[in-house]
Amino acid sequence: MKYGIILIIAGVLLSAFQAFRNSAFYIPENWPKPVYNFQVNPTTPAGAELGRALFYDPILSRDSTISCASCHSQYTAFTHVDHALSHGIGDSIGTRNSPALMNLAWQSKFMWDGAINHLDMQALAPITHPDEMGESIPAVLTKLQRSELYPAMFRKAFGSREVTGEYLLKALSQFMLTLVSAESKYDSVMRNQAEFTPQEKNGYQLFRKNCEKCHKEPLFSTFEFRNNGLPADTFLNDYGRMKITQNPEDSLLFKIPTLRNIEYSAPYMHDGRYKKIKEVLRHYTSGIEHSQTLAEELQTPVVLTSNETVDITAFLLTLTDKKFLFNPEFSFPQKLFLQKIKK
Amino acid sequence: MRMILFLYCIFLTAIVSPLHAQEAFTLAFHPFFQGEPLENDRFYVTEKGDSVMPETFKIYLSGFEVKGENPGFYYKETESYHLLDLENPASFQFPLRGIPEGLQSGVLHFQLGIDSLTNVSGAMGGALDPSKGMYWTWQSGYINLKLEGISPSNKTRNHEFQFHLGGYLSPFNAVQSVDLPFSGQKTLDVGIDLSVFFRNIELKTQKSIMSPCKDAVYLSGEAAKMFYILNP
Ligand code: HEC
Ligand code: HEC
Repeated sequence: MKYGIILIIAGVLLSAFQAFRNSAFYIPENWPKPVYNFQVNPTTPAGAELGRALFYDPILSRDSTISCASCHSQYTAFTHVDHALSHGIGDSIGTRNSPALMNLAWQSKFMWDGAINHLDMQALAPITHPDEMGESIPAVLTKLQRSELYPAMFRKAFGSREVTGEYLLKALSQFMLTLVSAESKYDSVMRNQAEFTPQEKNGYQLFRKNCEKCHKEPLFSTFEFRNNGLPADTFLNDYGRMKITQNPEDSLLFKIPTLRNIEYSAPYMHDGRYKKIKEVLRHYTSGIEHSQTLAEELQTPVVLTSNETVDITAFLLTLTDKKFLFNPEFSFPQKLFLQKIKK
Repeated sequence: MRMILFLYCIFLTAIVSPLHAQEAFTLAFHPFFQGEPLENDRFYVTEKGDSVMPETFKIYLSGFEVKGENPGFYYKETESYHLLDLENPASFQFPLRGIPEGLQSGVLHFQLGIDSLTNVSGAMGGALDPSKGMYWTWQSGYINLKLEGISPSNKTRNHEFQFHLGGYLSPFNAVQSVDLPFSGQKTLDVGIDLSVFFRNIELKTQKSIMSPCKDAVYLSGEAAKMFYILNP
C-alpha cells in the first residue's frame, strides 16, 4: 500500500518533470519562483505551439488585419515598433505604449496600471477593445472552431477539439510564458562566464545605487506601482493605477517596467514619450516632477555626471539578449501557416 | 428559440431526474416581479413608479452549502459555480449532487457572485468561461450580475438601463452571502423577485453601472435580498 502511494507520487513527479522539460519554459538559475500557477495550466509543446499560432494570427481581430504580434513584435522585445502609442484596428490609436513582453511568469499584474490580474486574462482586453482588435470572444471562438487548422491543434493541446474561451486563453499564456529572457551579457557576468568592461562595471554600481530599488535584479523590476516623477500628460489625462483602485494615493502610479532588452524596446514609458535612453536618464537627473505621490526613492535627486550617464547606459546595454530577440521558436510560425495556405 | 430551449429543458429534466431521484436534491429558481412570474416582452412598474422591461438577466451563484437542522448534517457543493441566464431557462434548475440522505430542514447558503480567489486565478471553463459574457475584459474581474432592459423613465435615446455589478477588491468587493431557511423537500423552489432590486433605484437619474464602485456594492446588497423560499 505504502509502496503503491510512493510509486504513484514518483510517477506524477516524473511526468510533471517530463512535461516541464519538454516545454520551452524554464526557470533560469538563481531566479525567484515564478508567480504563475503552472499546476492549473501546465505548459506543453503542443499548448505553446497553439499559443504561438494564435499570437501571430490576425484571425483574432474583427477584420483579420491585426494580430497580437502587430503590437508586440519579437525584434523589439515584443513591443510595438516605432509608435509611442500603439496602433490598432482601422489605424486607431490607443492611449498607451505597448509594453515589452518577457519573463511574464514572474508578474502578477499586467498593463501599466495593473488592470489585468492574471496573464490568462490579458488577451481578452486587446481582442475586445474597439480600438485594438475589435472582436467579440464568442465570434473568435466560432471562427477558430470553423477553421481548418485550429480544432486539431486544440485537441493536441487540451484533448478536445472544442474551442473554448478557457483553452484559447490558456494556450496564449503558454506561448507567452515561454518568452524567457535570461541570456544577456549581464546574465553571463552573473554566472561568471563573462566580465563587464570597466565602464559597464561602473555603470552597474551606479545602477545599483540609483535604480535597483525599483528595477530590481534579476527581473529588473519589482512589478510594483510607482510614480517616477513624469510630468502628467494633460492631453491623455492618464492617472494610472488610480483608475483601478479609485484611491487618490495611487494617482500617477504606473507599473515599474523591466529594463531587460531596453536597447530594443523604445519608445519608453507608459505613453512612449522618450525615444532614447539618454532622454530617460535626463528625466531621472533633471526632469522629476515633485507631485504628491512621487516615489520615496526619487525624493532626493539622482545625480549623475555626464560620464556616469554614459556608464549607466553602457550597463543598460548589457541587458540585451540577442538569443531572445532572434529565437526562431518565438517568431512567426511560418511552416505551420504555409501548410495551411498550401492546403 | 426560447420556446425550443424551454421544451428542451423540460425534456432534459424529464430524462435526468428519474436517474438521480435517489440522491439528488434539486434547486429550482424562479424569476418574479412583485410576486408575478417574470415574462418576456412585458413592462412592470417598480415601487418608484418607473416602467421597466428586463431583457437580460444573468447572475452568478456560487458556493452552495446546506446546513441541516438534524445535528451534523452539512453539505458543500464542489466546483460550485452556476450561471443563471434568462436566455437559457435550463440554467435556473440544477441538482445538488451527493447530498446525504435524511435532510428535513435547514439553511441553504450561497453567494451572489464570484469570490476573490477565483477572480484572480486565471482562465477557467464551464460556467466560468470568459466567453459567457460575464467577464470584464478591460479590467479583470467577473461580472456577478447583469441586468439590462428598457425603461421609458430613462430619457436617453434608446431608454436603456444597464447594471453590471461586480468587483472583488476591497473596498468595492461586491460578493454577497444569502442564507435561506427552509424545510425539507426533494426540490427547493427559490424565488428571485426583481422588483426588490429596483426598490431603491431612480431610473430617471441612474441608468447604468459598468464597473466596480460603491454603488455596485450597495446594489449587490439589494440584489441579495431578491431571493426567498417559495414553499417554506
Ligand atoms: C493594438 C495594439 C495591441 C494589440 C493588437 C495587442 N496588444 Fe498587448 N498591449 C498593448 C498595449 C498598448 C498594452 C499596454 C496597455 C495598458 O497598459 O493599458 C498591452 C499590454 C499587453 C500585455 C501586458 C504586459 C505587461 O507587462 O503588463 C500582454 C501580456 C499583452 N499585451 C499581450 C497581448 C496579446 C496576447 C495580444 C493578442 C491577443 C495582444 N497583446 C494584442 C497593445 C496591443
Ligand atoms: C521609484 C522607482 C524607480 C526608480 C528609483 C527608477 N525607476 Fe525607472 N521606472 C519606474 C517606473 C514606475 C517607470 C514607468 C513609468 C511610466 O511609464 O509612467 C520607469 C520607467 C523606466 C524606463 C522606461 C522603460 C520602458 O520600457 O518604458 C527606463 C529606461 C528606466 N525607468 C530606467 C531607470 C533608471 C536608469 C533608473 C536609475 C537612474 C531608474 N529607472 C530608477 C520606476 C523607477
